[in-house]
Amino acid sequence: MPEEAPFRFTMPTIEACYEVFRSHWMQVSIILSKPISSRFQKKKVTFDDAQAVINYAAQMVYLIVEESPPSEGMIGRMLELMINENIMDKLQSWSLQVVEYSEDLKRELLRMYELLIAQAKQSVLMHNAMLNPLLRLLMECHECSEKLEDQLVLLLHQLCVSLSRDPMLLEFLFHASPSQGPAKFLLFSLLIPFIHREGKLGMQARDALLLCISVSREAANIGQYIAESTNLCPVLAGGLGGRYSLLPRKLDLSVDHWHCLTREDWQRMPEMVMFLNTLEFCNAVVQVAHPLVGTQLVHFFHDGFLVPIIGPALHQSMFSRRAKEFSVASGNNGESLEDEGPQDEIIAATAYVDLFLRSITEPKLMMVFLRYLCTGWHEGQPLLDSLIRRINSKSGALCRVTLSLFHTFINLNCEDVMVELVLKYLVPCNHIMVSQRKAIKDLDISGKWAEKFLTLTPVCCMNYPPPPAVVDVDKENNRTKTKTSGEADVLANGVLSSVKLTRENRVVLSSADISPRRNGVKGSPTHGKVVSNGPVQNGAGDVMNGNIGTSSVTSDQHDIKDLKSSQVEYLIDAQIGIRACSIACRNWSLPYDGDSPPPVCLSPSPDSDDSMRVTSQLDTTSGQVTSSDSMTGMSSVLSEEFATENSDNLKGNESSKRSPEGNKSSAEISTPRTRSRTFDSSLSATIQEVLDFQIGSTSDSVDTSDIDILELFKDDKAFLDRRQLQKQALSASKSNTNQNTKDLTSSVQQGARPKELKLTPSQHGTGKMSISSDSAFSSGNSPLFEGFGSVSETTQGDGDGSPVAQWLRALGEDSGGANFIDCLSNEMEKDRRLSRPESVRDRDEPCVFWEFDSDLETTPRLAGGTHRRISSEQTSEADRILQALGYAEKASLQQEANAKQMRFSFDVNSATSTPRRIPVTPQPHGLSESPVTGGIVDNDHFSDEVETRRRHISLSSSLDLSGFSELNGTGSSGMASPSAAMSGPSSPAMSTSLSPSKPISPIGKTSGNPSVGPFIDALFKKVENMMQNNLYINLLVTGLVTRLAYYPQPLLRSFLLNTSMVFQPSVRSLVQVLTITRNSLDMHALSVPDFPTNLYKARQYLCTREDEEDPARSRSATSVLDKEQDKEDVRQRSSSSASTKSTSKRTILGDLLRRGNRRKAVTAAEKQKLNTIRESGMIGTGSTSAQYEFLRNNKNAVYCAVVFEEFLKELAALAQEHAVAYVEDS
Amino acid sequence: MTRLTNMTSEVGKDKGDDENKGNTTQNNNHQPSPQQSPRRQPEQLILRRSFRKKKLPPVPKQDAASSPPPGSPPMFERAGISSPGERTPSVANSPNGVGAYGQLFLEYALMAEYNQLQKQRLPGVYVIPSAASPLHWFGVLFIRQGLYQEGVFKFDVHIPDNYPDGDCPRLVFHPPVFHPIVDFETGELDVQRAFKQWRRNVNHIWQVLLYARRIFYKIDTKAPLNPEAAVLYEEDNVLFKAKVADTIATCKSQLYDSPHSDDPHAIRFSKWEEEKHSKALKTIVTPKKSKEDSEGAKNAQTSGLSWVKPGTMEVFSKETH
Repeated sequence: MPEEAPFRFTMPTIEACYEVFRSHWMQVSIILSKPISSRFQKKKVTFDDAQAVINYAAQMVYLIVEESPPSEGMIGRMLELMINENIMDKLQSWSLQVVEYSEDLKRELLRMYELLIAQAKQSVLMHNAMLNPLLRLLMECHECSEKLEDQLVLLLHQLCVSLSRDPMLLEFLFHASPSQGPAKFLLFSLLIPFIHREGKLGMQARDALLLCISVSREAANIGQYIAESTNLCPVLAGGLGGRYSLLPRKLDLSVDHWHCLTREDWQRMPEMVMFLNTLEFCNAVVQVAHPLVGTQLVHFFHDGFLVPIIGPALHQSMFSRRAKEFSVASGNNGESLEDEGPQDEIIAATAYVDLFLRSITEPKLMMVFLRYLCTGWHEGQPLLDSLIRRINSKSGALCRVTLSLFHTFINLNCEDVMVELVLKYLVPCNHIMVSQRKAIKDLDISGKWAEKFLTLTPVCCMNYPPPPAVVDVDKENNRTKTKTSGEADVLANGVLSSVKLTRENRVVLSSADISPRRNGVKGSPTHGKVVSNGPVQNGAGDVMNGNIGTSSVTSDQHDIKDLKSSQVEYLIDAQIGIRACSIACRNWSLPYDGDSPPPVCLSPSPDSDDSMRVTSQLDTTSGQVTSSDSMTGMSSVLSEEFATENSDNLKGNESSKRSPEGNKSSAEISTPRTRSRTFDSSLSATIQEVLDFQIGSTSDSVDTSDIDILELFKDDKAFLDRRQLQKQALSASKSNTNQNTKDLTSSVQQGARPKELKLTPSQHGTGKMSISSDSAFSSGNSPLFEGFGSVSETTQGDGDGSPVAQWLRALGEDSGGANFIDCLSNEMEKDRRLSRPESVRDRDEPCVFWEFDSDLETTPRLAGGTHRRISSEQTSEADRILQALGYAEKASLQQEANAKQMRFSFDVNSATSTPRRIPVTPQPHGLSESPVTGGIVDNDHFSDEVETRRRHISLSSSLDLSGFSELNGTGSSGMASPSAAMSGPSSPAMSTSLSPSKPISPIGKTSGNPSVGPFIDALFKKVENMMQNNLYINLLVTGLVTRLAYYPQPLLRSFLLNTSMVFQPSVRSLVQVLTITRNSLDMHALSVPDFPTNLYKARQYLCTREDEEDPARSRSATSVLDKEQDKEDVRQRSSSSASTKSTSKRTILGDLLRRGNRRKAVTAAEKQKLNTIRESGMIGTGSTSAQYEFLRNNKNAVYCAVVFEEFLKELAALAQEHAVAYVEDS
Repeated sequence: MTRLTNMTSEVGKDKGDDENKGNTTQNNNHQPSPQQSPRRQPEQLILRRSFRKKKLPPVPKQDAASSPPPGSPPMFERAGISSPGERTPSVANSPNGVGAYGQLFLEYALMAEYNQLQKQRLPGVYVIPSAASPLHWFGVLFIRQGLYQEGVFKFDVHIPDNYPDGDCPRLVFHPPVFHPIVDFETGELDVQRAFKQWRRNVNHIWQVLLYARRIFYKIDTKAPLNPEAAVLYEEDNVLFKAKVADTIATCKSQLYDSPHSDDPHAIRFSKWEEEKHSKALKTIVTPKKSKEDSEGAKNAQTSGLSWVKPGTMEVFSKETH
């Protein structure tokens, strides 16, 4: 074209351009005006004509592109002409008429539009004359040939890009409707068919869609349109289903350690890459789209993908083959399906789900996914249940992959998942003894827990035999190498039908393999590296051992030192893990610290309307009372609310005599859980009804002793009436105090108060028995022969503990005596906060019985408290402080006068509250009257209560004991736990402030065997069977427990790590489980002659492997690990970013076991290596086929010992790190 | 700012704005001098006694800022001694019986103690462990009312190396304070009377500090270490007050002196310098912005997730819009 060159290079004037443009248009219009087809003239349009039009039009477009608007808000003359002449429209119409060249013309038009949109300096799309032809053109393209596709998508993409630049266009484009055709927002319907395309086209289309969707984020109407009128969401969800169906039905699991799809794995699966692309796109759409669209897509994701596809895939039964809807694509599974097919498919599906979970980043999508997995049902079974069951599957691969999935679950730091898996079983606090509730928030301040974990180290792990001969190492190292290469061959011949996994790993491995080989070339065998590592390990060991001479470690002990020093690494890991987890958990709605949510908040849904009704009553009234009870036990702080509450309660009792309404309400107060506490205070005519209800509602779980007590109450209404009168005679504040005990008074009665209570013999017997059981508890797991002496001794200890809190309370008062009372309430708030840690006391003393029940300490305090209040009424506040500090003479005198030293007073002296903190009377418990001395008004009354209270405690303790003996190995876990029901009454709502919006009766089913839920059960069972598990399962299981222990929620933390916690009999603690494993390990070690040698070898292998894993570290091993390194460590530690990478680099043996932080590494080369080591036959003895089974067991046991020992260190480190974890206030 | 807040544990939290105004101004005069800025990383609150890898948990930046005391808070700075004393203390025989871990347990017990101390936020009490030993802590105490009002007392805490199974920690004022139960020769506070027997897991170091603060508000004259002070307090209040004023003045006059210890963490006061301290001050008194994380910005893989409706335990119930 002659015009082009001058135009391009000399930039003619606007006028010249306009003239050129006009002349072009003249030429074009001449051609366009030619009649195209008529009845008479068959054909007038020649190829030349078409070509000319295309050329001229192209030139015109170029001109328009270059044209600048003369001024703001104006349009250029050429564009004006184009609009006025409706040029594009004419071109478009013409292109339709010229049938022969229609495709070419369309294509050119698309290109022209693309050019205009992309490069024009003026906004061309704002004009209907431009836009309408475009829309019509696009509509024409609905059924266009493939030739046009790329150009079309390009144009659409360009359109979307300009949309994203100028959101104004969006509305315009959205509302503009072409003169013909209904399609609104053509962009979408045109792009959607390309969503699932592969290659560049699909990418462009998806990009364009995303752009468009994100632009429409703010426009509700468009969002609505996309969600409701386009098929974007169904297409996306359906695409997922389609893509999923293309995935291999099963995976090649020939690799022993395989447990999840690593990046290396799935990158070699084109189908998976495609699926993940789609998933990623869905994820992105949810992320950028208008919420309506996101919600819609999530909905389809659930209904169109999770439920019909993932559910069946995950859930298919082992025996029935179902859900074959999507098996079309993988034609290979015909015959292999017959035998282990379904299980393999489950394994594959589990691995896929795991991978999907790890791929999704959008919370909404994740939410629906997790919700389905956690709460979804399939074929009448909760999905989660099936998954949990598979933890203990016989199939190693299924077990591993399931564990891996759960690791992913837990790794998400998702509150809902954790609630479903663990927390909802812990929140009711039924798993622990009532008294232990105040220990929930404890931390391992002085390292007791950690110490406990470390003492669980098996004896067999403490003997370190001399290292075996070097020859062995070499030999096995060689074997390792040969085995590896041999396996590579095998794998190379893998079946086409199934995907070979972890082949990529071998690439990694092969590079890792270089190092031994290279060492071999250099004549330094691998074991040499181990030895050369010695200095490094020593260095670390020295750090551990303080300034003990560096040369004190002999070379024989290198490995031992390795192991010792790994504790440091675990600490670092734990710190990083806990910190990350704590930060993530700030988003949680609740702290799960035993107070919030309150234990009553969560229990299984009530059975009937009745229970609901009672529950709500309970929630507003007696729930508060009982919660105050526990508060007393916990921090001995009397809140004003509590006082008010109690007086209200009292009034209620009084009124109950007059009005039926009052009767009813007060009767309802004594719901089953609290009945034995609040019983006497709520005596009324309706009591029978309530009792009936209680028995009925909990018929399957109420134990007999509980019912006995109920019967007892029924018989003793008269007594209760008396007691109520008694109550009313008391002063208000006194009543408040009594509230704690009065209910208990009636719960379990004994000879101490025959005048008031008819005793049933059985009741008496129970009480007696409980006394001895108490003392048994005081000596931990030891039998019952410790006498009462231990009881009194322990009681004394308790007394020493609580005064500190008082003392604190005294000290906590800050602003001098004058405003002391004014500040009281504030101070009490503060005290509550401060004194909680104080109530920690000697919790770490193993199994001290009084720790098991708060009631015990509450009671004596109560009695003495009254005394103190009276005796110290006249003393000045300052004196009280002095007393509180323990050196006031007055206090000392009292201390002598009383049976128990009363060094401390409490200064809660206001009229509204009653003293709670009182010295403990050291009376040997359970013997006779309580020795409360001094000015107690109604001494009898109090001592009675003390006694009965103690009986109650005794009873529950005895029940606890029976459970305990069961734990010690005698019985099965099936025992119905009366203690659960017994302690139930004293399991109060912890928080007075939190009133759940959906209160649920604590009656529930929780009065059955307390449980920590199927997940923990399954996990612990796996831990218990560690000796039988193979190495990889053990790594996964212990890694899962470790990961769980990262969680800072006190409920979970105390459950897993607090070794002093005492659980209900039917609940096993981690320590108990570990002890079992430890014992069986030791038993096994004794029965196998060369266990120590094998153990040594196992360790050495793992160390060796570790070295090979990290050649860089081996190199640096030669240099001394000096202060530089230390400083770097410190820096890492202090840096919030917590460089995990370099941490793990330095890790010694523990690295192998550190699943959390370097999961991938473990899955990859390390494990491969381990595998080869394992297969190379680590046991020196001849492996005849007869011995094979034994050897395998032994091998598992040996590795288990190593893992177990490391696991203990890890747990110890976690306990320690939790103690020092500083959680910033948020 | 980072440095300052990291180095000092702002344990205290002022309770009332008004009552502290006077002291606050006074504190302003005591701003530390950064002239000997330490070369080492400030985060290195290292317990360097034997296990050099470990350090105390860093005092988070937000700590002070989250509870800004009214007015300007006191600031301290370590003496700028770059090479930490490589003391080689005798290795404590661990009572824990876990062999090589014993030392580790001591370290962690002390870290936990310090952690607890931080959480207590004792008003007017500021403590930092020494660089050389986790068993030696430096502190300073601001008395904000009462007889000892305006007192600024520096002290050292010495923890027995068999902690927590040993004796009470010792607390020594430098310079000695005129007080009935503070030895006027040695400056040592009679901690024993409050903790007749140190009980593991019951007693904590922060209680000692609380007690040390307490004695200046509630004066105890029984069995005095400083009989003169006790007698004066009982019998000649005017003279006692004069003596107290003396001791306060003495402490103040020595406030800017070099710390008695050459430990880099020893608390050191310096005059206020606008350009050096104002930024730190601003950070401290500015409440920490609570980072609002919108639902959309979250990454499901890294940020914690929760769809539990607040106040309930219902999972996956929160409305997402």
